[in-house]
Amino acid sequence: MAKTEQQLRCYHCGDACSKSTALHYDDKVFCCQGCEAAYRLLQDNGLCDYYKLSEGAGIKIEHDSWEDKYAFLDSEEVVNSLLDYRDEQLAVVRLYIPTIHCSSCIWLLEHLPRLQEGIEEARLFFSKKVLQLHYRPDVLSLKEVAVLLARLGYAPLIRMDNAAAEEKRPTTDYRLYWKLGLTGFCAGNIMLLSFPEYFSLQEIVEGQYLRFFQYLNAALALPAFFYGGSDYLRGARHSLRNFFSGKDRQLSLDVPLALGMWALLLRSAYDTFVAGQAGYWDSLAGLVFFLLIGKWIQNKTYEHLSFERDYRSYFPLAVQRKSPQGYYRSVPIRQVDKGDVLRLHHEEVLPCDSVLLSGKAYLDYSFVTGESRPVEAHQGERLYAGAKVIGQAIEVQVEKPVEQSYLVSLWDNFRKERPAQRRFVDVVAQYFTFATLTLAVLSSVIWYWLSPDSPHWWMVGSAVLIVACPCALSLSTPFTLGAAMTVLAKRGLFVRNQEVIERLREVQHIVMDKTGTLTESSRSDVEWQGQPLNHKEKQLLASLVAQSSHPLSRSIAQLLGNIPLLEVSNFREQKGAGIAAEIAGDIVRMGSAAFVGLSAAPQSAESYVYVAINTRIAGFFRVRPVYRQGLGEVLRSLRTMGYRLSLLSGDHAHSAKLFSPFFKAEEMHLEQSPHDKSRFIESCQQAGEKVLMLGDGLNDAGALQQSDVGMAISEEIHAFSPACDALLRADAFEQLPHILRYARASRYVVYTNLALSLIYNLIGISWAVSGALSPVIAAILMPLSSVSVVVVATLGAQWLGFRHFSKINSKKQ
Amino acid sequence: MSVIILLVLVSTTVAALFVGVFFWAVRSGQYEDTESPAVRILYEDKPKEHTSVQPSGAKT
Repeated sequence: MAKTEQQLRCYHCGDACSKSTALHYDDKVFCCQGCEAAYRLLQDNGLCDYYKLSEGAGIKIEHDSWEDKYAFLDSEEVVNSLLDYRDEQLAVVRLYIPTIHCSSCIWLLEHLPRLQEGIEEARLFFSKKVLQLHYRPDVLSLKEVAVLLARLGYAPLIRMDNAAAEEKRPTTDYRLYWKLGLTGFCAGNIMLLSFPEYFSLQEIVEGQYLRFFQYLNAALALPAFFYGGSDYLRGARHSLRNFFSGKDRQLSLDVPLALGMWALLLRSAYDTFVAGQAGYWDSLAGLVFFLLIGKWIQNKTYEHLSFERDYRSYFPLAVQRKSPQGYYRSVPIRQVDKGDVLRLHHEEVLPCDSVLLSGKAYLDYSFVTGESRPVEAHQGERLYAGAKVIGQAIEVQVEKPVEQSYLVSLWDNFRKERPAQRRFVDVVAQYFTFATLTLAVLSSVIWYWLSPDSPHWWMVGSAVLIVACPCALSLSTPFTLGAAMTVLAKRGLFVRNQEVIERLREVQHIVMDKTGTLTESSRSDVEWQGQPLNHKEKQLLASLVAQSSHPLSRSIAQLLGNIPLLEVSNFREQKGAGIAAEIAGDIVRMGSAAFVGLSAAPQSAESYVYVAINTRIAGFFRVRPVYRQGLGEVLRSLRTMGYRLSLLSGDHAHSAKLFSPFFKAEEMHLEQSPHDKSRFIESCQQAGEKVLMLGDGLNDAGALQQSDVGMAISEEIHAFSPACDALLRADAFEQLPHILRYARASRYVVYTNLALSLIYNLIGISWAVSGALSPVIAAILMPLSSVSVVVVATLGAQWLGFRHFSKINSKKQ
Repeated sequence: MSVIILLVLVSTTVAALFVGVFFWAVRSGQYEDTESPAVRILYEDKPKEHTSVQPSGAKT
């Protein structure tokens, strides 16, 4: 792909950079000032080992006005709400830094005390991407810390939901680990003490030892049963209560599990204390241990990703409020009240419905409506919360406090809890429980009828219950889905939990948002049409567009690149029409057809910017949204897979033309408000369809909540995403059909395992019914079935992933 | 009482102590991050050295 023989690479971030724009410093090449500044900072402090530790350590640094961005940290109240601890000498803060990615990051961030006086200690929690800093508030402010980090490429993400989460941060659930540790200890020791039993050493080992070992086993099994297995016992009690009170017509998987556990306990107690035999203590502890491992796998999630973001994560923590004396002070947005005057900078999000006081503003409502093209607003106009300010800073007067804004009401309307879906294993467990019970009773009756005098009948009955305990069954799903989760994450889809994969299989209808989902939100495709521009003309145009903050001007400036600008005089901007100025003796005008003196062009989804130099029309720029790569291919594959597709967009009806190659007219639903979107999904669901919603912005938040699987697509999965079930990395969009196919296929692994565990059960039951199930056989059969199910689940899911995804990789090459 | 019984009891008690230590380790958050400590230990701490800063290169 290299255009030139020797591609210049930025020493800091490793990005390719062109010869004309590259910066040189210290014999090294940098792509931008941000990267160069970061390098200098490190070099001045002798921290250049950063670059040696791992390849491509640096993070491209967008040159930005970080002071403004973190201006909200000027407010004492905001800072205090973020700090974990504070006194005169020391403050402790935990910052979430999404860009952390390699071991160099750990090294650099933990060496911060060397870089900046006032930082006493830095400790990184890599898997959570959290940096804990101890700093001296008398030397350094939190804002300075944040700006320093941002300059190095580690901009901390500080949002309102972080602060709220900090208050009620749940104590990490260490109980499962405790249970695992304790049960593992019990199971291991019991097995050790059961060795004489396993190898039939009863002849060699003296009787008193055997008795002692058996009692010790019983003592060790009790904590495993009552503490380790407490969740299962409680779950079963709960399920039974609901079953008999008629609240729930189905039993959960916990019931047969608890049944097996109780059968093991009672039978073993009888064996050991009454009959003087070994009992099944090892099987009991082993069973609980395996179950807990399954639970642990099932609970694994992506800790560093947040699937719970609500509207608050879009808002800044604080805004600048004008005091009656006329100066600005940052205040937390909770304190903003009706009538306050606020100042907002470029890229800041308006937190409440308000009225514009400044003369003019460009606002990007894409969070709310999905329409990405910025809107121009004028003095006195009403602005809605969720709008992002583009360009110049503006002043607004608040009309409603944050909680009452349109955006927040939208959010609250759709925050419904989804009814818990019954897992596939629970459905199987249903029949399983009744089958085992019947079998146990039946075999007991038959044995009682055969020999009423011996206790054989109850031995057989309990043995059936023991051996039919669906341990393997309960392990098959978590391990299959756990492995599937890893496979999917490698391909760019991060699911919130295992259940999402199960729901993903059942999807029939895929609803897609337009902006940001099917088109890329950050880029637009600008193309020059007309005679090729010479260097002088390029200079003229670049100088002109540099004067304007209109988004179209910015796109064009990007296309023209970094060229020296000329002096501009008599600049004027006409609303909704164009810009003009005198540059180096030439009069340059850019704008709509009418503005440069042509007859008006028909309205379309594309934007045209005409250029006139003096009186000559030089040509026009065509600005189009960029489709996601492989869009046509993806949609075609999804159709052949039998999915129904729909397009939902807040865009104007004339953008239908843009998508007519991809969607049929009846599949396109345009000019949809966020409310309409979620209502559309509701109506599909009422028609009995399972819906996958693919969206990105806050405007899709309601629809994402309403759908059966809400999948958010994001360029930067750590940063902005509405609450969802799954996060799809934007560059993985092409793989969507394969991902869905994989999710569908993963069910076969579960089926295979189901069959496998049923076979084990049948073998075990046939031993039990015939009255020949000895503790040793149980001790072999039980772990064997569990381990083989785990192996099949893990390998099966991996193999499927390999088969599904290697095909595309080879096709690409 | 036979020595084996004594030994088994002692060893089980010692093992139980380790379970207790495990409980403490989990509770004090040692399992919250399993990645960075492994990397951290490999870094050597060099004394801080100031390299003289060259005047910045020309911008093209």
